[in-house]
Amino acid sequence: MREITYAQAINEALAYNLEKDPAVFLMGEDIGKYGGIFQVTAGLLDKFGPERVIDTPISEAAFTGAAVGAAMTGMRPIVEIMFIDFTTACMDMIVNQMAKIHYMFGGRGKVPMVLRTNIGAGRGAAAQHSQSFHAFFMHIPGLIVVAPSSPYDAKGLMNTAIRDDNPVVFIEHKKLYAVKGEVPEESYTLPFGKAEIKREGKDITLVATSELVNRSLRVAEEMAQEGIDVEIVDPRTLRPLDQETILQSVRKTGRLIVADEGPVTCGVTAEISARVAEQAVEYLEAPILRVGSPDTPVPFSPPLEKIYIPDEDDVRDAIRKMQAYL
Amino acid sequence: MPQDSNRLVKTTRIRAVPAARRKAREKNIDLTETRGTGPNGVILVRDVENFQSLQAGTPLFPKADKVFVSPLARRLADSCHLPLAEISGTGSHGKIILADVIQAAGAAKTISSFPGKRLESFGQTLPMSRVKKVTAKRMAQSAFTAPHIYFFADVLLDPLFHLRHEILPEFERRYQVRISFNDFFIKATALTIREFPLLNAKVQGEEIVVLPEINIGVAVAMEEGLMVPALPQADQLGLGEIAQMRDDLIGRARSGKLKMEEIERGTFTISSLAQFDILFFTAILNPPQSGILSVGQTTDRLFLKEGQVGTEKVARFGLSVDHRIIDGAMAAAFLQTLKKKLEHPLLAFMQL
Amino acid sequence: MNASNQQLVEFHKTMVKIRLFEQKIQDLYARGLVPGLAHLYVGEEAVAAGVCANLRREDYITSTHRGHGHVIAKGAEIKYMMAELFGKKTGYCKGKGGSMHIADVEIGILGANGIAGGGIPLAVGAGLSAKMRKTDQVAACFFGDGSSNNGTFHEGLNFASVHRLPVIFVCENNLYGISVSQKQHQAIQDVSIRSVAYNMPGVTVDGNDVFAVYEAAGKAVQRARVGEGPTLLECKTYRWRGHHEGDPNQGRRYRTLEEIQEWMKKCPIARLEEKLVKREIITKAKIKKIWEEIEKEIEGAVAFANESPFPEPQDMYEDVLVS
Repeated sequence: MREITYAQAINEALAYNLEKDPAVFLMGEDIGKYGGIFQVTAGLLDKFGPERVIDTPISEAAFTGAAVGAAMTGMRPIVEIMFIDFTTACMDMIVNQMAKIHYMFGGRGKVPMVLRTNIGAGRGAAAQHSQSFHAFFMHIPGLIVVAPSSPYDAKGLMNTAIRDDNPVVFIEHKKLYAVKGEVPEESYTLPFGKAEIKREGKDITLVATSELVNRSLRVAEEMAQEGIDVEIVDPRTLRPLDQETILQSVRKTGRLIVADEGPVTCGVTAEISARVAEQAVEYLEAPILRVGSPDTPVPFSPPLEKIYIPDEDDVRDAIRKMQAYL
Repeated sequence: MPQDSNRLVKTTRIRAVPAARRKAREKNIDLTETRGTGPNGVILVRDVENFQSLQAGTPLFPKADKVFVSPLARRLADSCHLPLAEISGTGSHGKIILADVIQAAGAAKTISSFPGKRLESFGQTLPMSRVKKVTAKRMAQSAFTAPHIYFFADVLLDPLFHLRHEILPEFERRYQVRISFNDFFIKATALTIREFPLLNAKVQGEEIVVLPEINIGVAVAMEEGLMVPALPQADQLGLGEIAQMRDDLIGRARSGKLKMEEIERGTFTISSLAQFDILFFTAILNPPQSGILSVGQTTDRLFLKEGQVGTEKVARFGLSVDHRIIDGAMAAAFLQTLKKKLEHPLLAFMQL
Repeated sequence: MNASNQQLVEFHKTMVKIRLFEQKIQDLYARGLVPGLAHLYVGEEAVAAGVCANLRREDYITSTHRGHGHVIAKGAEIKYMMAELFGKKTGYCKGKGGSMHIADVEIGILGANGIAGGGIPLAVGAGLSAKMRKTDQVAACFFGDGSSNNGTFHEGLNFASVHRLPVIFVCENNLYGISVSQKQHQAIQDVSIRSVAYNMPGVTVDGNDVFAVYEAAGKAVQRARVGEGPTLLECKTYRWRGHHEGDPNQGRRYRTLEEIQEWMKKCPIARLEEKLVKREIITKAKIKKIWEEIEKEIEGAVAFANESPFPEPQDMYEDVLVS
């Protein structure tokens, strides 16, 4: 099968839907001529024209809100927020409008839109361009939140997101954009709310999101040499979370590590840990360990940023700690 | 600053991982008696799995309760309508044992010098613990299945006394344990078995299986019954190792932390009532073993030799064997050889 | 006046309906019979009536927390509104939205909005959608003087202007946010002058003169329909009651009784009635009748709401997502 990058995979899904459905259109800053800051929308302006691929002013609230209004009135907009850090500028539109309209209006009126954004540090972009607070969105009822970890998952989930009648927050990862993977040429969808076991194992359950999935896979291969068999569960959808797959895995292994790029406090890892503690505590043969960012803003200086990012070293440390309970 | 969550807080709660607790509950294992091997001594699932009673899966104690009480004591307390909360426990970890209930009931005290503080009360019908029941059954099975023949020999122990006295301080310094006479007996018995393999055998259907390793079991009397942990390949162990192992096994037997395997591996048993005023006794074979050595009390005996009067230390050893495997001649020869080794320890332990 | 007599009578009916609805809520609320919050439109009726009279069923409006007037004028049925305010299952939002979120997307009501300025981008989006679908639908966006300072106002007007969207931005300048007067929150007096910054026409009218509102809104709607882009229409008006029911002394903590009474003299309904009677379009007796009939309608709505059931506990979990 041919290999394309994560960015290209998303591009394909966008192009396919722009082609098939005239109600689909894109809005965002620098997505047209520039092709998007991470080149996800490259070539789409040329292909579909400025009416379908709109370069917006720097007005997150306006264009995100406009997307909501357009979605309520027959369109299927896909909005790009350049960095997740900027979603704070349109938080009201996301939290109070996008997420709630269907419910507040008693089910009449829906918001079939996708809000694409990205998380992840590691490019020296510093505190306001490197955050990973996707947990904020996981916290809001009414939103669907997905975080694909591979080009294959990205294309499938994007296709599903565009066709779904619900508002979807689509969490991409800066470091994944250039990563290649096998992606079918044809269009396909992947279901929401279904986790995938990216690696089977019997000793430790490692639930990881986004790029942490790939970092964990690398470490798991190392650990296999030492006879430690790690099972890696990729939720793929954060909200609604496929907790059954996670619980089943924990019942099998009895040990849980949760890894997410966001800060540990009140993060995705906290929610998953809590659910396991509530529903499978008697299967636990060890404390639950979490891998995430420290409770500081993202530092600029490269050596500090390296320490900040939850990477292979941090995953390995967690597995080592877990060894004492093996 | 990350909190040191491993800092041990003084608590009476037992530290165990959730899955271990569940397992302990399911198998009726008392976590207070389980030794934890996880970080900072937390009890893991494998610790619970390893902790077994005398019989595989048969619990020594019922549900790990908030009031720690042995089942015998509980039943007696129930039948006497004594509230357990008002009885103070003198067993390990403050456990209420039979003696405590009897004391609380104001029943007549009997001599409690028996190790394990076994006390019976007149007129009482005491139920058998599960352990006792099974032991009783197996014992009966052994007695009726294996035809026992008994042999006795008086063994002069002065040489051993002298040897022990001489090496005691150095031994203790080197091995952190005091050498006991039992250690000599174990070693000597193991060496003797080398010469008499059929004493290390079992009947299997219509065949006699000679077991590959000589694992000498040492009978330990417990409140609930007899436990016989075995020293593996005792013929190849040095006295120091024997002493340490003996000390460890007996200690863990008393606190109920033996592994099943440690009991099941025994191929020959030594049972001693040396601390009582028992001259000798007939022991019943520990099935499926073919031989058991009993040790009586060491006494001072007057002797007359070449017109001289003196005293010598002597103990009567008994040997019971399975007559299906071992005939009288072999048994006698075994006992004689053992006696010789014990009376000439230097020769024996230099393996001459 | 380019409204027909027929239309004028309709204006009157609409305004009376709004007035009586709001007064009914005022009464019920005072007696503790309506839960939640109520932000009443009493005194501002001409703005909603005048603007919405220019809109078709398929045109859009977004409204504010003070939205009863707008949605009635756009054609919402009062019994479903009443039921919604009572929190009943039969309400527009199945009781899940309440006063500030009444919506009927089918007749273009994209919701009252509890966030100040929250509706502005939504209306812009509706205009964008209409343009993309190449219909001549328009979107009227109601907001107050307070929201004209909000980021969404500036972003929304800018976006609509650069993309020439069919939006009518209707600023109901009632001189106060909650308690902060316009003098305190803006350096300008006429919000409409901000239109210059966004290169769109800006008009200020007497918001209590339904004719003026109707005419100005009509021009703006026309512009939008033919693709000439958005307009900023400022309607100067005044709310008689406090910001919300429960605002002490109907807002006299920050307003004077004199000021309120001044504005009450400029009552938009009274002014219309005077004109109607003067031009012999309708008799006083008929006017009285209209009031009575509408009062009955309101009573009917209250009865409907009272008889309707509350939602079941499990209904709370319904409609979080589209299934």
